[in-house]
Amino acid sequence: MVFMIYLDNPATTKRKPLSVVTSLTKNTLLNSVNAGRGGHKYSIKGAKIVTDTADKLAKLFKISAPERIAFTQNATLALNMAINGILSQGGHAIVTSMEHNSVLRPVNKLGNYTVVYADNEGYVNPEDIKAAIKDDTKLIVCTHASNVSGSIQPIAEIGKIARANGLIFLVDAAQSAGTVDIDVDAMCIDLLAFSGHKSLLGPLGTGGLYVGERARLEPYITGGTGSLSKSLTQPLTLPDMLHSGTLNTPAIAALGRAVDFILKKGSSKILAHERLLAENLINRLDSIDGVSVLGGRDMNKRNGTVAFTVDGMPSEEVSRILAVQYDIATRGGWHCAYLAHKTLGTARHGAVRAGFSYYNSMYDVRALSYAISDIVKNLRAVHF
Amino acid sequence: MPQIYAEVGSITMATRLSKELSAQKIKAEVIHTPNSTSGCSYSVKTDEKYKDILTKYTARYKIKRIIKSDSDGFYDIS
Repeated sequence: MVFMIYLDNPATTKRKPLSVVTSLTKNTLLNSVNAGRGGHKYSIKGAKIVTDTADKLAKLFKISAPERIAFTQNATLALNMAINGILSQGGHAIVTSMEHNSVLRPVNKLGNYTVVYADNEGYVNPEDIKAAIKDDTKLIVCTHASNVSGSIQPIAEIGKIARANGLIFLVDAAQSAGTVDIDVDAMCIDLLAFSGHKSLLGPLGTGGLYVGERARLEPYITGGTGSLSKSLTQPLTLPDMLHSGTLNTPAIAALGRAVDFILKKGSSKILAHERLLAENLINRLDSIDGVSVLGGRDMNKRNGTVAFTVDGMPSEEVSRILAVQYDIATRGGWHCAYLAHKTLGTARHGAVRAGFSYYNSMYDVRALSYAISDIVKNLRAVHF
Repeated sequence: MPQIYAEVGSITMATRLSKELSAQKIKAEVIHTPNSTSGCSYSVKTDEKYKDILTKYTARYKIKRIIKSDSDGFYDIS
């Protein structure tokens, strides 16, 4: 069997550590249990699995109160819980043009928000965020790393502005959790939404939300929590407030193993590996006429995601050819982040996105750059 | 030795409190609280001699009450 070169890691990392796969299989067989529902040993064991994974995530994100981490199906649900939970009684939100639709659509639905545009390399100026604060502003939302350009935002500086102005700061860490350093206290993060299945290397169907002491959330989804059953109102204790319905215990167990893997390998080492591959790819693509790489060239301000365009060819078509003729998985189009493409100058045709994970190698970089060279050569042969 | 139950707000807190006690070599067990007034809650069950230690953790683990169990039934002894 020939494996496709998989570079759609910003969507989800396809390859997971063996310990994650083993844990998911084992726990599906042995612990497909409803955590914290009833007093039997499986219920109690399930709850322990959930708590253990929260403890590991707390270590990774330097969170001192792990009980303030709730598990969700993905980052989108976590972002919806945070945005709707803070703005349920009204109030203005500030978002950036680099946000994913998982932020833009919820704030747009609520209606009272300002978009702060990043520069054409995808970087937000914290002073622009400060200038957008209004009397009724309650929330600042910023992605940590762009899912299009890989640009890493100055989160700590934005966090300080939020804190100084008494605002709640929500960070979308879908593209950074597991690789880029996150310290919720040092970065003044009140709400941290993360996916478990991307750079955290956990299984699909995992994500979470950290709720800091300053964030007073209204529950977004209500239902059974296994606690306070006589009450018709949602418990306000964390994480129960955000844990309505049955948790995906086997996947949460496997996520715990993924975090073990990252803590053992070192997130900074994983990031360095991904950056090395991304830098090499950028250098190779920069040398091909007709190919433009989006974003800046300072690798300290990027993660392992590289987006690019090929003159005269729609991004979806480039991505299709890469998949069909070269067995390379990338993603063309607008990546659920049209405003980011508008910011980066690719609103019309979108871009091709390739993202590296721990399991990619220089072989993959070479294969993609040769394929792009080939595609450009063939395009010219057709045109001239 | 009579048993006591520290009733907490969530199973997460019960699990964490149990972990904390186990780290101190105190035998502790997470249980579904008997006679819960709120309807479904979790408690950490341990020997009565550890009541003072449990009390120390009231704020940290949001202990709602401490219940004693003996042959006559359950009593709130918080």
